Amino acid sequence: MSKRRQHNRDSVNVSESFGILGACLLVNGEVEADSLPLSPSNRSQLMQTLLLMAAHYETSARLPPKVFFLRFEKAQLLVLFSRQSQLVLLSKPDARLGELEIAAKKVISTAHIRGSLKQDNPVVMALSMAAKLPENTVPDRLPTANLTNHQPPAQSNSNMTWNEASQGLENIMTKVLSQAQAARLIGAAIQRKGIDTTRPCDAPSFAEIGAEITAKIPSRPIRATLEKEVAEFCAKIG
Amino acid sequence: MFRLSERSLNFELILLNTNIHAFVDQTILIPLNLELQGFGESLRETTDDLLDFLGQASVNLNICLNAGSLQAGLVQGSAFCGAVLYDNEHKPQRALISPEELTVTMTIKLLEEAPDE
Repeated sequence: MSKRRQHNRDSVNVSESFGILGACLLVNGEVEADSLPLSPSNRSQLMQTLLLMAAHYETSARLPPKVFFLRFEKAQLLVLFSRQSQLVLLSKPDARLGELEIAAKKVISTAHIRGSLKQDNPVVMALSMAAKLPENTVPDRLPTANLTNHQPPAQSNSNMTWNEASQGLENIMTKVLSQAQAARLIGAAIQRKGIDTTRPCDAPSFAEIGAEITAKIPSRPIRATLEKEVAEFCAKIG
Repeated sequence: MFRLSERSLNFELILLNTNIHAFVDQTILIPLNLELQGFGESLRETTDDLLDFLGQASVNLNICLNAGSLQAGLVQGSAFCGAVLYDNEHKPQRALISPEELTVTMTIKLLEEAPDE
C-alpha cells in the first residue's frame, strides 16, 4: 500500500474515532477542501441556508457571527467563522464535542496561512479525506462556494446589462413568486455580490444568482422547471 | 405560523426583522417550560427571536441533512451568545443568553445541568 493511501486510511480512522462525518473549509471564499458526505444539491442547500443565517445574524447584530451550532438527533453541525475563513463540521451526535471544538478553532484561526494546518488535527484529517480542488475550479455548488461573497467581478462579453438580465430573471421567478418578492431577492443577491448593475452581465455570475434564487423554491419539480428556464436565459447572455 | 412549504421562501423575510441579540451583563439561563419571570420576561423578545432563528434554520438544514429533530442550537457573535436546549418531546426547554464568548461545550453543559427553580 502506498504511503499516501495509508495516510488517507489513517485520516479516515482518526476522524471517525472523533465522530466526524465530514468537513468543508472555505478560505477567502474559495472551497479549500470538502469532505461533506452530501450530494451536490444537498451541499448547495446546506451552504445556502448557512449563508442566509450568517446574513441575518449580521443584519440584526451588525457584526458577523462567529459560531453556529445545531445538534440534531442524528448529527451535529458546527460552523465557525473568521475574517477570512469558514469551517463547516458535520459530526455524529455523540462526537467528542470538546476536542472537536478546540481542533476546529485551531483550523479556522490559521487556515489562511499556507502550511499552518497540523496534520495530526482530526479536523484537518477529515478535510484531507477529500482531494484538494484544483485551482480555478468553479465548484458545482454555485452559491455555496462563497459564504462571504467577496469575489472580484467576472469579465463579460455580453451586451446585456445586469438591469436587463435581472428583469429577465424576475420574469422567470414571478411565475411562482410575487413580483416584489422576486425583485427583492434578486436585488439582494446582486447587492451581496457587489455587482454594478449598469455593467454588462456575465453568464457565470448570472447563473450563480439564478441558482441562489431557484434554490429557495421548496417544490422540486417547480424548481427544476425554473432552473431550466434560468439556464436557457443564461445561454442567451453567452 | 407558516406552512412548511413557505418556510424557505419566508426564512429571509422573517429574520430580517428580528433582534437576535440582547444587552445583558451576565450569563442568564431562562427556563422555557415555566412561566417566565424576572430576567426571563425582559428577554422574552430575544428568546422568541432566537427560537424563531433556530427553528427556521433547523427546518432548512434538515432538508439537506435529514438529521432528525433539533436537540440544541447555539448562535454566537462577538458579544452575544444565545442557545436553546430542547427536551425529549422537541419542545424548547431552556435558553441561555450571555454577553460573553462561551465555548459550545460550556454552553451546552450549562444548559443541560441548570436547574429550573
